[in-house]
Amino acid sequence: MAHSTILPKPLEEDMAFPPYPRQRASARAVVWQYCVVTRIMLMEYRTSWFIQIFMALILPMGIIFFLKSVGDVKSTTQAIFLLGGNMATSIAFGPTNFLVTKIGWAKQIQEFDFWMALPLSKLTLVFAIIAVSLLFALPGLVGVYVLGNLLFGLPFMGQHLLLVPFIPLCVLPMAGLGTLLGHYAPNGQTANVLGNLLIVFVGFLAPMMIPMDVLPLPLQIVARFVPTTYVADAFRAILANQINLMVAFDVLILSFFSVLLLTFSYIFLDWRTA
Amino acid sequence: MSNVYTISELTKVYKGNTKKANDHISFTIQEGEIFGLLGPNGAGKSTLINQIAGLTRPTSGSIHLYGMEVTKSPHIIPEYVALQTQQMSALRDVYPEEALRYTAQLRGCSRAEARRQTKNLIEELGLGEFREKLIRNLSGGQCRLIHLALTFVGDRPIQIFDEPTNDLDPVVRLMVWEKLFKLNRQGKTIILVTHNVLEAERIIQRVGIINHGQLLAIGGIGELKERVDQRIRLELLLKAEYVSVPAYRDLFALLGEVHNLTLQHVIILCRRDSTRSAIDLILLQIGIDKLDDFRIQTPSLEDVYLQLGGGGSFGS
Repeated sequence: MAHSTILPKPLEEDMAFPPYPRQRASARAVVWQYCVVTRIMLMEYRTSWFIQIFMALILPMGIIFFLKSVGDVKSTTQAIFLLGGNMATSIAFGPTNFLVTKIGWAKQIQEFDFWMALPLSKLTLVFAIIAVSLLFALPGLVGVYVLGNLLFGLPFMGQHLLLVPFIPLCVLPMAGLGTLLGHYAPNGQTANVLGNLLIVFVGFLAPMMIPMDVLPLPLQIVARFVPTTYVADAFRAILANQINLMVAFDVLILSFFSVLLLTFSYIFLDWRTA
Repeated sequence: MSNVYTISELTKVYKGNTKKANDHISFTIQEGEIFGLLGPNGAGKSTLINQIAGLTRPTSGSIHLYGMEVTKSPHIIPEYVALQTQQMSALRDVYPEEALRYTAQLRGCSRAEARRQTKNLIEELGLGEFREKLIRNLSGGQCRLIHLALTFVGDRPIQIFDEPTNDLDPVVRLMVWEKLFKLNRQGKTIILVTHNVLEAERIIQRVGIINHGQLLAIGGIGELKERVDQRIRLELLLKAEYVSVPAYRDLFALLGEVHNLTLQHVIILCRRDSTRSAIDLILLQIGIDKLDDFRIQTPSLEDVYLQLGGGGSFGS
């Protein structure tokens, strides 16, 4: 690995000189570290990947199945509304919930101590955790998309491939939110409760499966500040093949949420014991 | 000797607590030494090493590592320091070999070097027999050994160990002490927190005793031993059938200060100048055949720990 070097000077005369100069990591070294950490993070899910993916799939798919079974879907517009909302919900059920509990428990069992004792930046670790959560989001999203299209009788269209580059932008703000919530959970149990609260809020108290104008005014206001509202809107627009200025607006808002929430989670994720 | 660490007036008060976990602690760690940090549970030892390893942010005071002020830049510390904490909460679902290889890589080793160090450590510490098991499925002792290996890998010049021999059987404990001694001979600075004072005494060169968050004593082992009770300790284990002989009890009282640990197990603290006559009297009036064990001990690191660490004098 290529490194530029900084040779520190001991302050006092009786201070020993460092046995080697400090290593300032190059971009290549940072990417290398990121790959190693992400790989370790993925290995950590050897025994639990199935349940993680199952959880991200089962609830949104169950909701689609329920709505189809009670025969409440009368038009294509309605089907697209529900499918887009469910795909956004699967992000909350999967990566966001995953991050809340992951960070909450990691704090409780002092998992970060291991990483802190390595010459590794917090940013590298945060991005590795988010990358893993992104990966866990994919099966849920794909599963909901395929099952929803089949059950609601929607066509599989080439334009739907636009969803693929759009997915990270939808996951990132939710990942930031999950990281923040996990950090503020005082222990693992509270993190679990927060994760469940998030599911209830996003699934049933936000315009995911319920149109915005049906929600009570306070929830309508809160919904404007929750990224999943814009994620669902964007998914619906792509599913309906209506790429217009509103989608551009959603992209803008989601980019803003991504930057804001990831910056906050980086700043406030205080892994050193205060 | 030059200092690798200079710790000045280090104080730590945890959030929501008024009690100081560390109270204005100042000391230095010298390059290439084995420094032991002793103290009872809750004395503030782990808080102190967590601060010098950059895991915990000090409330006040400063830490200099190789002359660099690292109190506000703790990210510098892992470039030179490896830490073995008491618990291992990360890497639960990876195999020992993977954990070692990737940790070495994160400490800056090339792939080939990481592989070489991993192979050597697996052989040296006998980790081969459980290389096929996930760390989650290992026993407490095996986990501890992996945790130690993770500290060794990457070859840091300063290595900190918090209770390195907990959960280990006597044979493995001996191997770990040997390894630490070997590392020290290679020039590594070792900082050690342990309750296993008797075993640690063999390798520790300088010791700090901490209690109630304060550093009560620091110095070379010989230097500290001079500060404790200089009486010689005669430790006897009477055979069961002789425990109730009154004449023996009278004799013990005559020889010095007596502490009956059990009916069989007696400790006599006698003056240095009367040690020889005390031994002669015991051998003459009781005889070695009536004893299961008989030991003669000068002040040990354990006495230093007990007497200077707030444990009081022997037997209190």
